[in-house]
Amino acid sequence: MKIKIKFFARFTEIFGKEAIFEYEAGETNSLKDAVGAFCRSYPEKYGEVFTRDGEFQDYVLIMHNLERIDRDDAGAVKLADGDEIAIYPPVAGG
Amino acid sequence: MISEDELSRYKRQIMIFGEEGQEKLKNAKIFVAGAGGLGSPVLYYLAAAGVGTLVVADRDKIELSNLNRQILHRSADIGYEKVFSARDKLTALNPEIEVITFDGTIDSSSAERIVGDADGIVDAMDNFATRYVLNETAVDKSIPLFHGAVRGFHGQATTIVPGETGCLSCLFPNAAPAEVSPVLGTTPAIIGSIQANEVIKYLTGRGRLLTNRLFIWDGLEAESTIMPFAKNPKCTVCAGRK
Repeated sequence: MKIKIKFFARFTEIFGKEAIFEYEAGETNSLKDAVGAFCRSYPEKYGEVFTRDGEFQDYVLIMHNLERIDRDDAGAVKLADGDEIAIYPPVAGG
Repeated sequence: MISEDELSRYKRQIMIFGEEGQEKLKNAKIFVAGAGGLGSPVLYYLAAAGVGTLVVADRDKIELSNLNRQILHRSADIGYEKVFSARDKLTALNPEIEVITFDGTIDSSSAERIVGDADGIVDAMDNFATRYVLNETAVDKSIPLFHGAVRGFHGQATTIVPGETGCLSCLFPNAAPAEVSPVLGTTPAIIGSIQANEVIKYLTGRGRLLTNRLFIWDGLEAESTIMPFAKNPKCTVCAGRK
């Protein structure tokens, strides 16, 4: 299974602009699981995107194949090979 | 009525939306929250375009560290209230318009009164707490909110039309963590120009507004991304409202 994860704003400073993530698709092949597995390879920065309970941080915006995904639904969205995920931390300055 | 001077001043844009469009700008009142990085280009372009009344709200005085991006203000203005500096520059640029100032804090107790009978609110703030107050005020008054925010080379913008589109709380149910954002002057220049462009489109009825879409700008890559969004039926601010 191969997906593309795109990062924006300050997340690009941690994870780069985009990553191709290859993994063994198991029974729990959700968007949340896949992005979580990718972010766990940055143990010190995992908490920027996810809470300790493994949920997306409540301010993070998520897109799946250019469609907005509600944070509460990220565990239910199943991925297919070639899918594109975007993770956006809103900016706040003025 | 548009005067001879105004016909001449606005000649090149009257070619776009006619005297009728210019009249709409002249009769409009826009509330701009913040006279800093985003507020500078927003206010300059709305003033230059002839938006008849601009209400400028900001509680801060000008500091040296503002001047890399807040192009309304000059080195000689350090220590002066931003709203008064803004009024001076804008009326010098265009004496045909009126600039009203509010030198104080925008919060839930002041917003309803200071926004008053404005036709729209420009969000040129630097924090989500005030943005949520502006959003609630826009929804209460059923007037549009033109959102923008920046960090470093990155920015975002969207236009909210209460009753028709998702609101700021539909898009951002939770605030991003507060921080002292790094920022370069060119990023608020780009995002603020988009906000001013949206205001002018809204007032003159031209084009398609940036509604139900978050424009995301990456200045390092010179790339933009559109994130579509919709009304949240469970939104604590706008769900069930007209």
